[in-house]
Amino acid sequence: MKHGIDDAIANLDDYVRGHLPEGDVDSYEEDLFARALDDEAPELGFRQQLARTLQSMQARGTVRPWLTESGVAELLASGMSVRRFELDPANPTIPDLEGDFEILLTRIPVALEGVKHLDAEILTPDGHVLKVMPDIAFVPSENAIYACCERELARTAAKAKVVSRLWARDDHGRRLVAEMPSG
Amino acid sequence: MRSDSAAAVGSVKTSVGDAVGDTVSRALAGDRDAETEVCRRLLPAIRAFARRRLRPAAAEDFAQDALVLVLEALRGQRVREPERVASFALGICRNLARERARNGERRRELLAQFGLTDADFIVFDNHLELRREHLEDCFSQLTERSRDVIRATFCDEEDDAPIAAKLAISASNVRVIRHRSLAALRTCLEKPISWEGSR
Repeated sequence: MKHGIDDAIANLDDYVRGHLPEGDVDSYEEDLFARALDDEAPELGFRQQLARTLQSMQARGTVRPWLTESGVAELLASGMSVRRFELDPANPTIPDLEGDFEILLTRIPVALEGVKHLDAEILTPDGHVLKVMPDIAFVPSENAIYACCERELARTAAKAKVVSRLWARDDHGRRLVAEMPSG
Repeated sequence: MRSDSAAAVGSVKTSVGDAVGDTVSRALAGDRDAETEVCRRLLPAIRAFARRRLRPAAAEDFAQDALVLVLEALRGQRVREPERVASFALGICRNLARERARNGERRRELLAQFGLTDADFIVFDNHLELRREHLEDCFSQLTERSRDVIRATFCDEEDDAPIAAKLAISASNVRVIRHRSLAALRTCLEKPISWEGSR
């Protein structure tokens, strides 16, 4: 059995999912309960926090960061308070994030004909990559992508001075399809 | 077999903060704060024990049953070696699992007898909070396949075989992807939200 927090998380996953060899289960359980009582089993808290928060995101419709039009229709029918925003890549603006809403849904028009794969990249103005969001969901004929996020994340993002880049892959390789400064 | 995983992240000490035996002794003496602390620490382990064996809804019932029995033993002064309360709780779980005594009537009686309500379980669990927007930020940085595996595991609570079939990969691959994704999420969640790196 391996050690370290990520190994502890993996071991707990194997235990819960029934992948731990039966011969190891008794000793694993003894150790797990003893460490839990000592407050030294952080993998337990991590797993339960993660499960609960993901389930809450699922219920709110934000467990899918990118939607297609069918997902948008589902979200709008869910009863959540959704603020819709159209982001023009050629003239990006910051959405109005005041007032009462729960989810920000941003439509970004992009020419998607022939596109097989889309990634987004968020950079500081001096070019440092803050995050990469791979594998954006899209339907080429919709010629738009839809980003969905919680209000709190939208407000945090709106305060950041960043450059967002959208990269497409098609039969001719990888190309930049949009670059949007913000903030 | 004691893992050094806690040392890797630094052990989080609680407000009770003293030796485990002392906390249990105080719980045995009727200190309700100490009793809550013992329950808070044991409940996630009991839940993992139950989740290994049962479907989610049944696992939650099992965890509540087992914790009530632990509490019953504490209040009944039946824990003779306070420092061995973890083994005692594990024994209760194993006995309960063997018996499969998931009898709703007995559970309701015990809950009523010891005055436990759903609100008490919320107190035991109230440290189990993640900032939703932080997880959302980290989750969006996973590949689509990783997101699918994590979502199927934790939201849809599917077994590995159907996840593998849906994604056209092997079940062992699902396990590997999940482990890597959990490590990636854990690492990401230890840092500030990515957008905060540009203020």
